Amino acid sequence: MYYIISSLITIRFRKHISRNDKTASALVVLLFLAVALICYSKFNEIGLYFYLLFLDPILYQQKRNDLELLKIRKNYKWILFVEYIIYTFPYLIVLIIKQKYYGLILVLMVNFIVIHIPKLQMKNIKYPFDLFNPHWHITFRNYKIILWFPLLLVLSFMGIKHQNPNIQNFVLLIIAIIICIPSFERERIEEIKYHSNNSKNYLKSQFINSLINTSFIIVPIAVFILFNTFNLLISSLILVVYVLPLVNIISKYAFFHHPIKQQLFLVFMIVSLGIPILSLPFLLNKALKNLNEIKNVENRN
Amino acid sequence: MLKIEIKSKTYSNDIVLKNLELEITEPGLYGLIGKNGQGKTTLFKCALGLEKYEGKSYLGKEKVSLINTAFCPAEPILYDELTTEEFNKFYAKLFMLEPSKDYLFDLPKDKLIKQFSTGMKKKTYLNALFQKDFLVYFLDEPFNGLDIEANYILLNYLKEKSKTSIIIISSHIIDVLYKNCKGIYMLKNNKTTYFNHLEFDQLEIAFFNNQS
Repeated sequence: MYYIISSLITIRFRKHISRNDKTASALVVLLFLAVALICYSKFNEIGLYFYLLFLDPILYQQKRNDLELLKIRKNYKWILFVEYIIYTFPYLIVLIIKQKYYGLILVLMVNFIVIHIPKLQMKNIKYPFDLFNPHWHITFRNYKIILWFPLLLVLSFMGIKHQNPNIQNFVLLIIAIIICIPSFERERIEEIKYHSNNSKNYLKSQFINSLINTSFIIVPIAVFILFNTFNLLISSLILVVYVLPLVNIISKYAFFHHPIKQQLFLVFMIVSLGIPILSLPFLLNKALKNLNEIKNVENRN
Repeated sequence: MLKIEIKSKTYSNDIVLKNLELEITEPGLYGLIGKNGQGKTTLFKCALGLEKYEGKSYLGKEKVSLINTAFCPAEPILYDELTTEEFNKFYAKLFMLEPSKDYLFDLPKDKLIKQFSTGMKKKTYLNALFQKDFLVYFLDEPFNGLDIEANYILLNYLKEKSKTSIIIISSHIIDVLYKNCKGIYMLKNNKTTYFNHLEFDQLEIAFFNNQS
């Protein structure tokens, strides 16, 4: 049993744990046990959210690359089934102790079904984003950002159902942060230089790009939220969704060679409820100066 | 007229290029050869302002830049998570043009670039770059990675383009340069020496001559 668990951990976490690193492997096992223990002690408070833990093997099944190798064995589906039982064993024990037998059977059935259906072919989603900044397409594909939106929609619906505007506010804040992700990526120096317009117009084009692409995301969600819950705070938060990425673009070029400073600035912006916006004229100046320097590498003479 | 003057270019304390002059007055295909590490790529990058150096590079009265000069590096860097169609549209936006309807190379439109081979990635980059007509082209080993058919297509395209633009190709495939170039610049010991097409027989002697 020790050998099986040790092998499974080595294979699954091979990018994070060195081979034969027993300490790291033990920590992984302890993590699973700790989570199970916490869930057991707070089971009534957690409620149905406990079942989110069983999404782990489902998501792992979708992204693993070794299925073709496993298919060499005729009984590979049973091997996978047992593997997923081992991963979720501490949580299954919690269900048994709490006498949630229906939940237990449901989880086992879902695992069985997921193993038997073909892998979801996540075809390239054709995003409608404007391509002046290609990082919208790149980050949405790389980080599978689109998978967040059904969850946010469900949260939003829960907020409407329970008449809790704080949930709507939270959803809009998360969307504002998600929309900032493309502006954390840096384009190549050559790409800035290829653009024949001056720095001011280049920055303006980035702003327009951000407004267009933000609209693709926020307009349907805003319509849904405002249709069900109209109030001033939510309307102003929708404005924040548009403004925050624009501020992030300015700070991106102001701190073009120091991405950490850009990240810290955004965090500070959110935490201090926008006070650093007062420094925007200064940052805009710095952003334009940096763009000018990039467009014209100065001769040493 | 293209005029590149590099008084000095150093990396740390190593002098890579010194007192280099390159002047081309008429459109055409020109070669650039040199051993590995002699500074061919550095020459292109300095002229384009991608590297700091002492000197100046002008195309007529304008500074040489990526606005008037195309640059294809030996290993172009692309965005793996885009399709060729998206990459072309992106470059069209940078050039402030409408995306081209015809491309030099046929490539699958809907596959992500990360699924491509080295040669296909190069074709993708060239397709995107050639959407705009430039006055000057710097092509760093453009034939590397391309199949025979693609090399043939590229060479014919460049020969046509060279009627109106200055095209400098750095390459180790000397026969291609001999057959198609008006002249070849040899980069050796931080400097360039020009050989016109009548002097190509002297080029090999100069290249392998160990004296500086």
